[in-house]
Amino acid sequence: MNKQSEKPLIRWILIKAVALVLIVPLTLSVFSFLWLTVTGGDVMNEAERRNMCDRAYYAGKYGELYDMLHFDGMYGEEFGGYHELADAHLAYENFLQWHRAEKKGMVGSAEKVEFYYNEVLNCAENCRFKQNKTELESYANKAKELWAEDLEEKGEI
Amino acid sequence: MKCKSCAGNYKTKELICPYCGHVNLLGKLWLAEKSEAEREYEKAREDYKKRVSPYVINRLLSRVLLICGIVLALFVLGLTVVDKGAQAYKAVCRKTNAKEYETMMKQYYENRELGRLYEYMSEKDLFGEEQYRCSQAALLGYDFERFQGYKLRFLELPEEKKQEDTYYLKYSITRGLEVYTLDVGNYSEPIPENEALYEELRREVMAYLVGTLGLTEEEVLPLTKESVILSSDAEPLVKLAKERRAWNE
Repeated sequence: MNKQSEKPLIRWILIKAVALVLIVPLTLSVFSFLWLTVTGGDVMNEAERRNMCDRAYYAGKYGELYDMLHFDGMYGEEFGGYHELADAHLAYENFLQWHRAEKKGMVGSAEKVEFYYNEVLNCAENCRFKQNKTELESYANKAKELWAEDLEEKGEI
Repeated sequence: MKCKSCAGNYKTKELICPYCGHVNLLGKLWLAEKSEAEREYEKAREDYKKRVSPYVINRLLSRVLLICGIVLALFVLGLTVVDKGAQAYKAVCRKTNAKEYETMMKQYYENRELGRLYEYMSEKDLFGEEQYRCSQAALLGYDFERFQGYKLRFLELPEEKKQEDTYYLKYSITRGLEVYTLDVGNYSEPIPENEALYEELRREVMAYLVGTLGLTEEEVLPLTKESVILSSDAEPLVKLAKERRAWNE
């Protein structure tokens, strides 16, 4: 066999090699996908999710807790305790947010301040999970202090 | 050998007698056998070449490509069948449980549990034109929850980390602005039924930008005119927010 007649063969080999470079990773991805689907690979089970929530809960990172609960769609009753605290934390931060907005003269902020103030107090009064009680009461007390300062500034007390 | 015609001596491999020209059959036989041997030798050489590259490589590549092609084709086929089956099943469920779905969606919508609405609608595959109001609300709600998440994550950082942060602050602003501009893909057309919801969410976003970050409406509103808000668009607002530190007030 001479070099001349080998040239088309080498051309085909190059074309097939390029095709393989594209197709083989795709095929491996298919196997990987099938494997993960069968074994439930990267789907977190409930224990892992609770673990993540516990880590944020005990580190006092309630913002992270809130984000995780909502981003990962953890809405079941088993996550009720975490939601209670994360929602109270959000309510308190929103109370502070609207409080600052009111100071800057944003229209309609007074009603919102009152709304979130009541939200924070409600969370503390209607606490369902006793491990959250201390934290919820702490938010309520801080909100009450700020509310009282505002009333004092306005001359209402 | 001796010539049969003239008895002259010459080599066996000669084809004719060099003396009288008589044809030497033995010589012809020898030549025929030699040609046969040479042909067999050439063939053996060719066969040997075919056992090594590039023929082997070419055959190997063809077989691997064929196997990969079959696997991919089966996978696509299988996926299509499973997907169609799942869609058909969900369509049947939607018809039989229409009332229950309607009640749940209404409940989530009215309680402003938009994150749960999104989860519920995703699970039951309820997004669509016939559920435009709830579809839009669910997607807005999802973006709004992400906005809240980034906001809270940023606010709980220690002060020095807030100044170094290049992620949560920027994405809290970007996501907030996406909610503000109703950027929710196929459901971005405002409808009167959701007017109150838009207003509520917009005010929450603005309260964060103005109250917590210390920005002004004049600084923020130009960005709300953009059709697409990139994270890089929020950089100037991030810089201003870090300078003002209004969250400490």
